[in-house]
Parts: sequence; structure tokens; C-alpha cells
Amino acid sequence: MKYPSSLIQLIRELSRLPGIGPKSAQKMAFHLFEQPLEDIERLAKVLLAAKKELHLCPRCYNVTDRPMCDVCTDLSRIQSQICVVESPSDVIAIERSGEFRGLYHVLHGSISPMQGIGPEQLHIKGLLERLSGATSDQEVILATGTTVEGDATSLYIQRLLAPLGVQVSRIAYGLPVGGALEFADEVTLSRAMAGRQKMV
Amino acid sequence: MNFPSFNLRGIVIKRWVLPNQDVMLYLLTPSGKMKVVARKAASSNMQSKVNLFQDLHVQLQKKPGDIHVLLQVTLEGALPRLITPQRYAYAHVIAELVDLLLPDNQALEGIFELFVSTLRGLATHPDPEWVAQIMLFRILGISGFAPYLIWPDHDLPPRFDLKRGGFSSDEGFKLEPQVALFLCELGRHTVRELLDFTLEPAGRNQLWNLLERYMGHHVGHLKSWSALGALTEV
Repeated sequence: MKYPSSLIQLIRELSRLPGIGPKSAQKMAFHLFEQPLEDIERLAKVLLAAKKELHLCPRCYNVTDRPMCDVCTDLSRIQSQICVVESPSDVIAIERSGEFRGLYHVLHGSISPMQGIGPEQLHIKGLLERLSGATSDQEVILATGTTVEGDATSLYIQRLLAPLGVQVSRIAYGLPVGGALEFADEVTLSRAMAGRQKMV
Repeated sequence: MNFPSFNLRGIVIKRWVLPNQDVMLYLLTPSGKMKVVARKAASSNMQSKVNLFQDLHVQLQKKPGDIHVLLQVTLEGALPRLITPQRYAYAHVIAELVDLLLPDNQALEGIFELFVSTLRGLATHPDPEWVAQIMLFRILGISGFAPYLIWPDHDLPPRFDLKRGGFSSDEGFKLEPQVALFLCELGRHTVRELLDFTLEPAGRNQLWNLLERYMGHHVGHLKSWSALGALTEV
């Protein structure tokens, strides 16, 4: 049996979403078909509104629906600290911790030349512009991923920032809280050992 | 039904994360290049092991019609100095070239050992640019893409013809004498001997230009070229 062309088109469009294979797309298409028309209209409206209203904050490049994002406009946050992350989801993760009260800068990726991602493809230039005229009180916390790509990106940015005289730090590596040593992998353990801290 | 598993050693030459947190890997092994999926590795403690340029001992399983699935992994070695911008850029160029040259699941004798020694050289040698230039020629050579670098005259060859892939007296671009001399010596010496050869910055620039155009014509375009300038300047 052949599916109707509109159903095939819907499955095709859904399977283009990240993480959705043809089988999942088929299930989702049938689920959508079974929903009342008003629910589908609401979903379509929300999708269109999100696409129209969401954009990148011109200062930190996080996703926002306002001219500037909530973090950048919040003057109660520590203006002399900028945490550099790879993606908007990293901002959410750090915000959840409640430990950081400074500002963010989202790079939207990490340097990976063989995938065609060089420094020009990331928002590194925007970071340098933000830091032009910064004093030595300014701190930049490099919180890119701990992959080779994330480490290389951090080191590249650190070298670019060195002449500006700002303080640059790298997020700590180590063991997960509540984790037993015997289950930690050797890379994490060696980095945790190298980054050990004095007990006071 | 139980599918058999097998163990092997491999270096990660390419990796990317899928939205469902699976990590796709290209491993260069002594028996060829292999595409492997590490299920949910991006959100597990396996992530630190399946990193770019790391030397792994892996246990794989393959079901008919499916790609290899990573079951277990042990980290055998890593080269942390490869994250410095210059070394990182050259490592990407080398890895992308190897990826481009090798079809999946096909062995090429000597390429694994050559790639391993190239990464080591890039990570430790004080002049990684020179290591990269020499080893790019070596990798092209072992893959059957070596330029024809024999010149019968006593004088140095004046030109390099990209299309024919070798020296020429009238076609192609004009070679600086130091570059011509280096290219003549390339096939006659070991890597260790070639590393002692000196090439001034202008000569190295011409060699990069030659390599980029030669590979672009005979092998394919490398995406990594475009980031080389920015990463090697800092």
C-alpha cells in the first residue's frame, strides 16, 4: 500500500529534524493526524511565532525574543565576568547550577577545521569587540567542552585575549560529584589529579 | 541472535555528535578506515575516550547491514599538546587527507604507522609546520599520489606542472630554487634527514601553495585549509 502524498511529505519533513529517523517520523506523523485540528493549528502557530521572534542577542549571541537577552539586560549580574560557552544549552546548564552571576558569550560551536569550522565561523570576533577597552578586572571564563575541539578553541581564545591584559581562566576538570573513584575513566582521573586544589 | 564481537586498535581521525547523543567515529586501524557508532557516548563517561586523535583499543560488533557498534573502549594514548592552535590545524589537515584518501574498510599498507608517527611528530617537534609539510608528501606517496619528482638535468627544475603532477621546463608555476632543491631531495632521504633540511618562510609558503593546489587537483579539496591561516597566526 502506498501512503497518500501529503502523509509522505509530512514524514519526509519530520525525518529532517535532528535525531528523528524515518520510523519515528512515521509515528509522529500518525500521531499528528489523530490530533484535533485546533491542536495542530496551535502547534503550527507556535512554530511560526518562534521562528519569527527568536534571534541571537547582538551582545552575547544567546537565543532571545527581545532586542537583548535577559542576562545582558540584568544590571544586577557581575558585569566584569564573561563565561564563554559553545552553545545556548550550555548557558541553561550553567544557569541551573546557580553558581555563576556574570555574563555569557555563546560561540555557537568549537573550532573543527576538517568540518569547515574555523575561528571565523564562530562568534569570537564579537567577544573581542566586547572586550575592547576592558581593564585587568575583567575575567573571561572559558567553559567550552572538554573535547579536543573544545580545548583547542579555549587555547586559541586564550592566546587572542593575552594581549588585552584581561584575566582568563578555564573551567575546572574533574570527578563528578557523588562519583566513586574506581568508576572514573583514566582521562578524567588524570585531569582531576593535575587540577587538584589545596584544602584550607 | 548473538553477533560476534572483535577487538582492534584505532586512532580517531574524525568524530561528530548526533542529536541523540550518539558519537560517530572514523577510526584509522592497521586494517583500514572504519566507521563506528558509539551509542549515547556524548552523554556518558565514554565521551572522554572517544576524542579526536586519541589512540584506542576498542571492542566492536557488527550486525549485517549495520555499521560497527562500539561496545567497549580503552584509552591507549593521547597527545594533549595537539590542542595548541598551530599543531591542531596541521593535525586536522593530515587527518582530513587520510580520510579523503582511504575508502571505508579498505587497508593501505603502512598508512596507519605513518599517521601515528605524523601525529607524534606534530605533537612533539619544535617545528610542526615542517613536520606537516614533509609528512603530507609522505602520505600522498604511500597512497599512490606522489608527484613525479625526478629531474634529469644538472640544473634545478624551473617549474611544477600541477596537471601532470611533476617537474616541467615550460608549463606550470615557477619554483623558487630552494623549493625545487627540496622537492628533488624528497624521495632520496628519510623523514629524519628531511627534517634537518631548511626552507625559508617564502619557500614554505610556496610549498603550502603547491601542496594545496596539487591535492586540490589530484585528491580533492580539504576543508581544513581555510582555517590554517587563522590558527597558525596566533
